[in-house]
This record gives sequence, structure tokens and C-alpha cells, in this order.
Amino acid sequence: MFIIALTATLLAFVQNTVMFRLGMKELAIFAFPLSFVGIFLAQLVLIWAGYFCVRRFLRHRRALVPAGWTMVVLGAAEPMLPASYFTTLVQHAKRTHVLEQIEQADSSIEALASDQGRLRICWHVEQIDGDPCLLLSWIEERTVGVAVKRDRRGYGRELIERALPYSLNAETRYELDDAGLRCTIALPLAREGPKERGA
Amino acid sequence: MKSPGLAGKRILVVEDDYLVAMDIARALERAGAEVIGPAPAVEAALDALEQTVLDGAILDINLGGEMAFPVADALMARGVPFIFATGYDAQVIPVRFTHVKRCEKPMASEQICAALFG
Repeated sequence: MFIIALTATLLAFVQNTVMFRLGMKELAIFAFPLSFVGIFLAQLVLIWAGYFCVRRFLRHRRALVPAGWTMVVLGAAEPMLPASYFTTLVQHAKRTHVLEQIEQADSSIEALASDQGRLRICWHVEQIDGDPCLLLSWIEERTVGVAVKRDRRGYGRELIERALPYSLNAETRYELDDAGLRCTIALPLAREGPKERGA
Repeated sequence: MKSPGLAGKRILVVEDDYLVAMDIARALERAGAEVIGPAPAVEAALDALEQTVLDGAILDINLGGEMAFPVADALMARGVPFIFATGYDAQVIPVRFTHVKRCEKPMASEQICAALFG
């Protein structure tokens, strides 16, 4: 029994390591300015899609949060997403103009633009109409308000507001103002199969 | 630039990848076509098909794991010309669709026009 458990643990470790490295290779294309919130959220979903732990991911990224910001992460479960979610999101990530958007982003993106603030990332899985749904919220509160262009659009915002609802049937909300950013994503985890016409 | 072959034509776009769908839709609109959809799944495509008289359609074959062949059947039944926008090779496509043209993505509007109406 001990040998079986040890073997399973080792296999799981190897599998996780390989998947993590593969995942990071996919994610590496983002170059990752933390202020580009949409990309970060997409990365979070990618992490889940690859069966990784969000906390582990955030630990790697925590150093990129400005020193004056407090970062709070709340989320007990590690939701598992169907493989098709991973495929869809990686397809988005690989598009060349994503890289172009990020190259243009640098410090001119408003999110996390102030020196101090608090970033809260929370998620949980909830049953909605009998189906599991991942509810994710990303809230940035700035200590000092910064004037922002509220209607600014970029790839990250387009991914949240358009691509996730279109491709993954998600419901999203994205509110950016001088005090910060509030973004929520409700992502159904059970993808519906083809429905009978007229049923 | 408007294309005489596509100007005013109502073209249904069926594609599950948001960015690819937007690329195709933009190319069609630039050519003067009226884009119906885009539809990310079979059900949405069939709904659009029932609500609009179409001049043509562009179908991705794999819609998030769901094959688009019911949409192709419905288009054939209505006599609407369509093409497959896919990287799949001919072996995957049912025999009844072997005459349907296949185009690799991304597609230029001229390529779409020639495949649909050429």
C-alpha cells in the first residue's frame, strides 16, 4: 500500500511539474505586466484549466505587485475546468496582436497605476440552476484616486467583456473608475452539449 | 475595400473562437457584406439561419468539440452556398459535403467571395 501511495504521489508530482512547465511556457508569452488585469485574469483561468493551484501561481507573481499594495487572495477550492476551456483560452493567448497590445501597455494602463492600494482576488464554485459555476472577483482599491479613462479598451478588457461570454458562455462585469477596478466573472463549469431542436 | 461580389450579401459566420470570428466578420464588412452572427455554436447558428434569409455562410467545423455538420445540412436543404473554414482535411468531412470548398484561416474577403460565389 505504501509503495502504491508513494508511486502515485511521485507520478502526480511529475505530472504536475510537467503540466506546470507547459503551462508556464504558454503563459510566458504574456510578459505579464500585472496592471494588465484582463490578461492576469485570463492567466488565472488558464491556471485552473491546467489544474494548477492559484495560490502557487500567485506566489510566483506576488513579487510583481507594487510594494505599496496589499494583496488578498481568498479561494478554498481549486476548480477543475474542462480541457476545452484551456484550448479556447490558449488560442486567444497565442494571437499575435495580444503581444502587440502588451508591448503598448507598459505603465500607461490605469489599473494598479497608483503607488498604494489593495488588490483582492476571490473565487469560489457555486451551484447555479443545478450546474457548477466558477465565480471570480478581482477588486483593486486605490489609496489615492487616479484619473482614468473609463472607456479605455484593450485586449484584456475585450477578453473579459466579449471573448469569455462569446466562447465560454461566461457572464462578466468590468467597472473601472478613479478609485479602482471591480471585475467579476461567472464561468459555467459544465459545458452544455448540443440541445435537441425544439426540445 | 468593397468587393462587388460580396456587397450587400448576407453572410452567416459560424466560428467558436471569438478573435477569429471577429477577423472574418471585419473582412466581410470591409467588403460590404452584412454579417449574420457570428455564431459560436450549432444552436446559435441554426437560430440565425431560421431568422434570416442568407446569401452564404462560412462554417468552422469544430465548434468547441461540437461538429458543425447539422448547420451544413440545414444550409444545403435551403440551397445556401457555404464553405468550411478549417484546418481539417477531407477525411474528417462526411461524404455528402465533399463538394463543399474548404479554406484555411485566416481568409481574405476575395478568397471568401471566390469560394462562395466564384
